[in-house]
Amino acid sequence: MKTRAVNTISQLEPHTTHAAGTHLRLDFRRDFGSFRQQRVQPQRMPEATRAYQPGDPLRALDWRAYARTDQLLINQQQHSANASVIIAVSCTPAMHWPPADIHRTAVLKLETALRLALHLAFMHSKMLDHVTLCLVADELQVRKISSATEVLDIYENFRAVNFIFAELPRVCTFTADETTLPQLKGEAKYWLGDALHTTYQTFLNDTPWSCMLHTLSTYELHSDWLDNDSSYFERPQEVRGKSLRRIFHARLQQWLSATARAVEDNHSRYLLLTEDTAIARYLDFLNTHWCFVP
Amino acid sequence: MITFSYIFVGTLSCTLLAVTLWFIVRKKYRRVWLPLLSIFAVPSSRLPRLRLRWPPWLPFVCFLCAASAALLYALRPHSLHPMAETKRTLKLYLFIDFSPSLGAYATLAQYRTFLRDVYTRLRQLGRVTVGTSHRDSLQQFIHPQAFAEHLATLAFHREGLQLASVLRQQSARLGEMDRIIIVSDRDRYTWHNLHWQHLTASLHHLEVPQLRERSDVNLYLARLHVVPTPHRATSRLEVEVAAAGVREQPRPFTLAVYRGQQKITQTQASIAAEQRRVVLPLRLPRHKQAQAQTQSQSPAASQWRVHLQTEQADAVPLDDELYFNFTGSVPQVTIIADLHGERLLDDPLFQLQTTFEVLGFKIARRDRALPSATPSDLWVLAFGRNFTLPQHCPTRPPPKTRVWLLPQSPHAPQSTICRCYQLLRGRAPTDCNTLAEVLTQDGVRQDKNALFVQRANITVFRLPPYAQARTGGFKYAGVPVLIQQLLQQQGLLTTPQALQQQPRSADFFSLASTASSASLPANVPRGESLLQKIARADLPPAVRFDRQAEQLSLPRYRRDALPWVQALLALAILAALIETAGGLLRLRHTSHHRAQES
Repeated sequence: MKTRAVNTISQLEPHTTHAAGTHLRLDFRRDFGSFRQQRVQPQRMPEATRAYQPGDPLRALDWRAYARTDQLLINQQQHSANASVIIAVSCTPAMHWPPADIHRTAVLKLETALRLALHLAFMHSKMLDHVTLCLVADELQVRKISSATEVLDIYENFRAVNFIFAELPRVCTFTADETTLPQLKGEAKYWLGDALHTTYQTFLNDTPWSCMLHTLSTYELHSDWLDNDSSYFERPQEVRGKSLRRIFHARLQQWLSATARAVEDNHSRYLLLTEDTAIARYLDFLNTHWCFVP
Repeated sequence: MITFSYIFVGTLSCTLLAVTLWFIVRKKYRRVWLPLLSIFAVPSSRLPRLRLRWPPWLPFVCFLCAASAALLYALRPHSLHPMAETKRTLKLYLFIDFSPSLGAYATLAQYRTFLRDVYTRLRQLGRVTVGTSHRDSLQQFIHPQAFAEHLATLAFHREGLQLASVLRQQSARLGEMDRIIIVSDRDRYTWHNLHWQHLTASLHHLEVPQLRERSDVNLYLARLHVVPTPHRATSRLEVEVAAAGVREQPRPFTLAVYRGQQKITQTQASIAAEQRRVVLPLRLPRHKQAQAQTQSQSPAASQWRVHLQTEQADAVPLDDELYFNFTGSVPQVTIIADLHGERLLDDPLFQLQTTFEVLGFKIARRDRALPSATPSDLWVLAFGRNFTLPQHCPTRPPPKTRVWLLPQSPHAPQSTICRCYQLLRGRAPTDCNTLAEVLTQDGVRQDKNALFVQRANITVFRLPPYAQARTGGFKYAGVPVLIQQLLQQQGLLTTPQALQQQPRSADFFSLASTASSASLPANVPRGESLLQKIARADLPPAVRFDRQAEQLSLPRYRRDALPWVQALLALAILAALIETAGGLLRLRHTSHHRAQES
């Protein structure tokens, strides 16, 4: 029987800040928000130093350093501020996969995506950002997060219904929003979904900082479980397992590459995740790309 | 009847169906939803829903073995073993038909001779139990002579025979019989509804040959109807004579009505060749009826009957006589009462009048008594407020006429009733206060709760029977029954028991054991007279004298299916063991494979 590591995304919780068995910790401490202003002001209290360029104010020169090193250096400081963060989770029927007849203990893609979304919402709330959680199905459902405690409350409710989308309205309140997905404006956007539909492209366009967490199932990344004598269908196609195994890996890699390239061409960050992805890899990705400054 | 062919075809069909379903189930694909296919550039081709796949061999082989065994046993495999040396006595049941239609084939003497011959032959084959259509007793005879003596006491009976009901009644008492031999003709009425194909007993038919002179025509008395006539001097009958069979010439006949041995009337007629039936009116003079009644002493001797006499030979003699009940003329009642109206609520005697109508009385209603006595069986004098002696109470009623005195209302003058009673008794209508005193003087015991009292031909009602039914302590609906019983008690109405004494032909056999209690003879049912024959193909296998021994003897070999059943059992046990071992091996293999995977 296949076993799953304890430090994978399937065990991710909103308040997870470090990966088990590693020294990697998530650095999310901010004083005034996660957004760093583009305007850099030369300050007496230096945070960063750079060489003097013509036009820089002379009062920003570090005269003490000039005395010591005979170089004209400028002290500058960049202030942080509250950001408006939009986290969108795709809740299409394809996210309710894999079914139980494939594997009894298989984790739905939707559960993986919701765990990641709630983790991001918790961290951004801690950073004093304005977080909006969106569930994208046939209609758009929105909930504005007011505090990190609220995220923990939502997580407990989701876990009580095993992250089944049809049960979510019963335990948690989301407001139907008549605005379309591209109309949601924010300084940072996250898209969590399987990218089987191109909705994410319009969502991530024209955003200063955007990130796509491509959420798939482990069973979609390998073909070992495919049965030669069974048939696999997605309307209107139906393919026998024997034929599908021959083309599976090639087509999958082709599609993943195309998806990543399309996201990155749009100046967005891309990360492929499954329920078996190590938490350390995910946290490392966040630490690397946490700063919203382009 | 479930035959070998049905079992074989049924089992074969089930086996083929099971094999087909087996393959269909095995050929079905498992379909799994994979959303990723929507972004794969895979040629769209809808796969067939079925595919051929070899089934798991072990259970399939076991299944084939079981199906083959079932199919094999549907063929009723058996081994033939010679019978044991000890001869078993063949149990034969000889049922003899004495219904009227047998008269078309043989006279009674010829039939007895034929039966003695049959009995003698059957005795050589086994033990013979004899039953006849006369009664449901089963008898065995030690010697053929005893059988002949028994036959001498039997004759054709007038009641018809339906074998289906007789065999059903006898089946419980008959016990296990090897062969049932029915001696009968091919009369459709006799064999109707006998589904001998479904009987477990081996049924054979021994057809009575044509021993007497053949006659293809049968005249019979089909129906008799008593026509009410206003003339009391004459009664009228309508007799329907029907003909069965092929005729080319008119058939003359004589019709006579008897009471006991006394001939009442006689007429001659003829039925044309193309005619199926003819209705003849017969008049019965009153004086001849009375004359016959005085001569007849016993009820049986006073039985009415119509006799049909033909000049040419008639096929069934017994149906030329028809017995019937006849009470003479229609009884007449004269009601003398004031007229209050014709409607139900206006006339207090309306219900009583209706009761007499229903009971078959001829009613004459008057508002006063005529000076000349009207011939009537019953006078009903209803006393109202305007009732006066000279006008309403007859001074001298005819002899043997019964008189009912009844008040129309509870307030009717009792003194008037009392004086009328004295007048009818032949006394002077002196003043009397109460009727009770007069009745007491006549020696009539009176009960306060009695509805009426009787003295000679006079019946005095204390209360109006209908208007005060509740006062009398009986239900309103019981009044017609009360009137009927009173009329029967006074001899004015034939009792229904007398009508029931005549047995019906349909249930004759069940009545046969108590036939002695039936004083009236039965009539021949019409089905016995129609000369309709059932096809030989629809009858049980016929017994022929030349091949009788071969047909009726027990088989020489015994069928033994036990070795085949044992082989089937062994096969079933072997298949179960193989299947169990295979299942255990598969289970072990699966567990080992999963352990390797984990």
